[in-house]
Amino acid sequence: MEPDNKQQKLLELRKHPSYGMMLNPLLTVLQPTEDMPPLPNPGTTGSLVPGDITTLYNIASYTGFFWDIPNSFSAFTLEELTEFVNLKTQIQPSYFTVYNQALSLYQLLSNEFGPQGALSFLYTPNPLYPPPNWDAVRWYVIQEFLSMFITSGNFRFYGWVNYPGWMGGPYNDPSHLPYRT
Amino acid sequence: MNKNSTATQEANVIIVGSGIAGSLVANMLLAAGASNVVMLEAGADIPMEDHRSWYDAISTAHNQLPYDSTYDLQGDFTSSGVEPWNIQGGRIIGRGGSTIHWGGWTPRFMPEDFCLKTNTGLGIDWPFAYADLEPYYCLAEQYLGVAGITQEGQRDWRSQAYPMAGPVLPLTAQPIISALQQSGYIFGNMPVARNTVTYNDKPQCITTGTCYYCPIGARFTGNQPLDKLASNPNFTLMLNSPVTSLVMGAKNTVTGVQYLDTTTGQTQIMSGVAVFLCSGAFEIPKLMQLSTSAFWPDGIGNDNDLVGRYLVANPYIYCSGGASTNPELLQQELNFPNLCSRQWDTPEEQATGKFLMNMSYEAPLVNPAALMYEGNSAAQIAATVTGPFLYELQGGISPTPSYNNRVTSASGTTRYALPRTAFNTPDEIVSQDTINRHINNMIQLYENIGFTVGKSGAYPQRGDHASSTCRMATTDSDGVVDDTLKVFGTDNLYVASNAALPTIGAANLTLTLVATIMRAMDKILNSRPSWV
Ligand SMILES: Cc1cc2nc3c(=O)[nH]c(=O)nc-3n(C[C@H](O)[C@H](O)[C@H](O)COP(=O)(O)OP(=O)(O)OC[C@H]3O[C@@H](n4cnc5c(N)ncnc54)[C@H](O)[C@@H]3O)c2cc1C
Repeated sequence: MEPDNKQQKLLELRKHPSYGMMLNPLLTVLQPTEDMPPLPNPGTTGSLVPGDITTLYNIASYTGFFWDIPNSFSAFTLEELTEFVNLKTQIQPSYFTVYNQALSLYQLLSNEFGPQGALSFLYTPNPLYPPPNWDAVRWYVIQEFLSMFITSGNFRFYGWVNYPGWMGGPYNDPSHLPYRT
Repeated sequence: MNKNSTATQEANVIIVGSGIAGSLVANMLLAAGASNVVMLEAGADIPMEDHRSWYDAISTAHNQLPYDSTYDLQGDFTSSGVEPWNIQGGRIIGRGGSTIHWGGWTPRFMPEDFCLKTNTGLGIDWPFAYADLEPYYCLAEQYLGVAGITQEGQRDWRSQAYPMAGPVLPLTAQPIISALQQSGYIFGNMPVARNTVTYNDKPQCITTGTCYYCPIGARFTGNQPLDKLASNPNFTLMLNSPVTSLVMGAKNTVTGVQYLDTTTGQTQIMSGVAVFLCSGAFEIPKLMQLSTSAFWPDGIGNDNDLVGRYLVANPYIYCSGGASTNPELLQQELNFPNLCSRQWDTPEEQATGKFLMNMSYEAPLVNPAALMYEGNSAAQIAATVTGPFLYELQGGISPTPSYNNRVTSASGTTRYALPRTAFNTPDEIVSQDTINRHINNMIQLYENIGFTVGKSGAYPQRGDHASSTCRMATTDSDGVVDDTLKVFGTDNLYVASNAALPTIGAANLTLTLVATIMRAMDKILNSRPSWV
């Protein structure tokens, strides 16, 4: 059976509901307890072209849409993601290969389901029929984008004013105490 | 040159180890005019304030850090005895040493910590009192850049204000403050070597809450003094150069060291007029034990079989407690130490074990990214944020030294060409009764505020505060070095390390280490040695 058919058969693309439950925990393939696969080809450095970085930005930005968290909290801009991606691809251990795997996967899914469907699939593929290179892509791309999404400002959605990883601001400046007292 | 061949190089002063102790010694020697100071470091460089490393630290699934790979591996040591030590994840072998990833907590010892023997009959007294060290404590706080808040009537009295004011306690501290107040207990800020203002050419903290890797260098780390020394023509730092033995020209004279260049596999001799051992409380006694010669058949300074003995570190205990709802969204928004209590860090507790309690800065903490990753919706996560939460109170206990507890070498070497380490700790350094007593103190605090009590116990001994293995004493029958840190029976070999601390209190020890080295260096330099 062709991998694409498998995916099509088992894909459960769900409509994006309003605020609330998006991921069915049973369907999620994000299983952090599993052993992490090695980063593919960490010695292969390179630079992604701006168009590819924009595609990765679209993938990263989908997080907010998917979880219904307004983008107004986020400082994870295209500019920041570009710096993030460049540092990850140009310096060893390099993410050049895994980002290209993510881009190919996105392309494959886009051909099948359109750009929006592809994004949704990336966040909810079926664990029994993972798409190509999914293991590395989920650990090194999706998981890391989720972390960056929260630390770069979206933690504020939950009512906090600071979070590990957020460059809150000088903590001796009374006008800018980065925590609640 | 062939592998394993020996070449000789010349230094004036040799420093073994590039941690905070080594760089402080270098700093003081160079400031006094010493020339040709050579530092040998077993490990490699570690990128600091590096943007890629920072991104890895905050984005990767296991918060990958550039020094993770330097930690001891299970096979690097053996442990036997009561509560066998497990040092994995503790010390760092690399440029800057273990303060690359320390917490930066910098409380002073209490006055009674300098006279354990007089007060309790246990251990040994320091050769000097708190009052003698107090001026150096002030200098050490300036050197490290300590931010703190002076408490009314604090027993670790101070002649000068902290270099920087400490931060305001966050909302998360409020429940525990209220618990402490209900019992009438004292509390305050944990002094930390973290800039609340620009200080020592380093910027103000921007509260990233990732003190294990500060992206801007606002917390003191061991690389910083080395960065400043880098351009000094009288200073040379040689990385990947573990010292494997000390060379003695006479019983009282060290003439140099033998080291291995691990990048080429060549053994080298570095001759020197004075040698400072700054390679930590495990490696220093091992190096001295292994450096046998006709002058010192049992190892240098070891005629009385004291080198490597009295191994101690602070036992670290914890107790968690929490409530079923969190309407105020209590979350460690600072993620670095703040609230502490020295209620039990007193002479009354000294005989059995003093306790410096702090509130963990890692709990309560909800990680929405992890919950998203596990497939939870925003609504589910929001419910988690206001749902049940757990605090953790924790702290270090002052240990009781024992002659039988010892560090030596095991056969074989590590990937850094250092001898494997053997820990043998047949005697307990704190009793279960003492642990229970302090856990009960924490339980009482939770009960004061109606929290449900969770898990409690002692963390495995990682040796973060390992010390006293070449302890300072007034005579060689009691210790290995004198109060100038010079090895008894030698004229030019010094131990600048936690290894030399005669005993430790409940407080973190590095500020005291820095003050002790400053005091000793003052005395050494005042004696105008030929090598400065
Ligand atoms: C996880 C952790 C957290 C800590 N937090 C705190 C804290 O918050 N507050 C506090 O007061 N203290 C803390 N400490 C303790 C603090 O880190 C030590 O007191 C301090 O690092 C001691 O400095 P040092 O220079 O003597 O030794 P180290 O920092 O250990 O440096 C020794 C150096 O010598 C090198 N070396 C070893 N053997 C050789 C050899 N044979 N040849 C050449 N080089 C060698 C090592 O690679 C290392 O770089 C913490 C320790 C750990 C492990």
